Amino acid sequence: MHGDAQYSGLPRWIYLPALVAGVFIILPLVAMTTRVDWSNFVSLVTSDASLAALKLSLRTSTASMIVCLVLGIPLALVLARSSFPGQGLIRSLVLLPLVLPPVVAGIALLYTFGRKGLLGHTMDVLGIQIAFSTTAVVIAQSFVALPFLVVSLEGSLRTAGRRYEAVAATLGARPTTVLRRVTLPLVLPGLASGAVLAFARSLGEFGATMTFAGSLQGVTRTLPLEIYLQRELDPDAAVALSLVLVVVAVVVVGMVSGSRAAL
Amino acid sequence: MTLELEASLQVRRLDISFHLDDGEHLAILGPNGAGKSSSLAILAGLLRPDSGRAELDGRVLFDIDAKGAGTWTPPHARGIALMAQEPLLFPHLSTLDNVAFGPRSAGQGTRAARATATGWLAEVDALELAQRTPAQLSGGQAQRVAIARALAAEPRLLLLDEPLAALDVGAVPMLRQVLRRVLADRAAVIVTHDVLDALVLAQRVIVVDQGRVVESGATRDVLKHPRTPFTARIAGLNMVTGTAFGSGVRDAGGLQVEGLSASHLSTGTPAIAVFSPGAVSIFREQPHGSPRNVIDVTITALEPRDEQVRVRADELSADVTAPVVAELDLTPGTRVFFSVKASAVAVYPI
Repeated sequence: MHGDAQYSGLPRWIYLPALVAGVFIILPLVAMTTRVDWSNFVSLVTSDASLAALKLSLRTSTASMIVCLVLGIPLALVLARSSFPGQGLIRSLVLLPLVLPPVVAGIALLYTFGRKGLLGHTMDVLGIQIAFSTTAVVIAQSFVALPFLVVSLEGSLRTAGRRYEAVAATLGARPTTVLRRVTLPLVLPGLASGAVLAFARSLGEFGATMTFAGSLQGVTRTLPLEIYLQRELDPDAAVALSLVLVVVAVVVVGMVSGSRAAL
Repeated sequence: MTLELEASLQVRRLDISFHLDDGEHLAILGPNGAGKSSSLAILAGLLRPDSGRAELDGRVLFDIDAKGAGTWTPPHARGIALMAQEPLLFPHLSTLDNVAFGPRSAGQGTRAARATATGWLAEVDALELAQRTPAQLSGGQAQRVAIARALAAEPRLLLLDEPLAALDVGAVPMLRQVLRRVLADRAAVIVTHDVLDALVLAQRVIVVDQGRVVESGATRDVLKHPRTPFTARIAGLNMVTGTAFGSGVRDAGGLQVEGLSASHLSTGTPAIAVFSPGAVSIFREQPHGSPRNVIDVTITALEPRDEQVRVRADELSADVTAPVVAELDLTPGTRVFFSVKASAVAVYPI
């Protein structure tokens, strides 16, 4: 049924603030686009520093997405399908990185994996030096992006319910087979949108990366860090790179709504 | 195959026990919330009782003492397939791969499992559906595929939880015949609220009410001589037992009833015609020129029930409203004609 045919029950005045909200979100992007130096756009986004940052961002965001999948899928499964004491508390804590200021996340990571951190000594002994390395970028991004995947996947798991899994078990499928052949295929749209969101969040990560990984060209200086740096040195380059991130974000949002529609 | 079950589950007010002999089909009847589905879930291993014990072919399914401790076989290791009211075909797999799921889980390779699945699809006359996705199937088709999928897992015991309840009325007789055919040589427990399912699919029936078995025995005995109000309400079907002729049944007394049969019956084979009292109309004069069964009877009793009156004539009965009784001036001893459409009469081999 077409939405317009139904009585919406909305007061007319509500369209005004709704319009303001829409403009509020879109106007800054339009404003930025008007400042792009189109004649030098290609050379600005293909400079050595820009390309290095872009490559690093794509590489680390992909790695973070994989980390989120490897760790997030089991966590979402346990939260959605089992029950144990303290489950509610854990579910709340998992959401913490969503609301935590990224710079705080960076400090927390520094005191966990840094040289003087909780695990720093152990890692020193093992000869692993994480802080201010590309690995640190991936850790920072994974830390802030993990909740996106877990929340999205847990929601899909709850919606899908357990009935298909019960049927599969009575057909003789072991738990691992049920997971592989029934549970995960059924929540694939939710899993895909969760992975894309985690990728997007990693791509935009700034504060935790800056604090925990620093800003070293080609090693830890991802695209958002490069933009922040260029804002002082070369505003035109910053605007051009920002536009690149906006385009990537639009593509990501499109992918998420596409996979949601397939759900 | 033999099955022994006793289980109690406080939260569902369930305290049930029953057994199943080799190759036997047991129907579980009972009102909603009586504990029928919970019993099946306990057998399948999807629900853990507080205490109880079950054994299939001498193998312990669970043995839980009063403290809740004991052995518990997980569902995948029980050899018990459960078919629900809804087909629950895996939406991401083709029909063929749905049926191949059991064989695959048992360790067969993709190719071998698909070959096995093809055989089972043929068994339920659903071979032409093999390449479709579940979304492209009608309710009846999906349920047929679900039957094939359950059978392909080669379960030692098949549990059916109201397998025909969610289907269009038109698809039911056909599917009931399919079930009757494929269940012929395997053990099954069928939960149903439809007396016909019990009659056609099971030799023995138990009636469950408020978590307890309140009646049990041979299906026809229980339905002919109901001892609880629930059974009396759902039983009370008109049954004409005799031999087939054409598409109808003729009993020993010469009573003939035309009906619809899902499968061809050869004349002379034992058959039963079943129809509900609600499908019977009553006439004082013999109706002419109608394609109905008309049976000449003498009223033996009138029983008011709810908003209707059950008019009994020996073995047969009709449900009519009180105004009809008054208008036709029906009293015991009155000679009337019971009339029922052939399309309302189901004929089954027995």
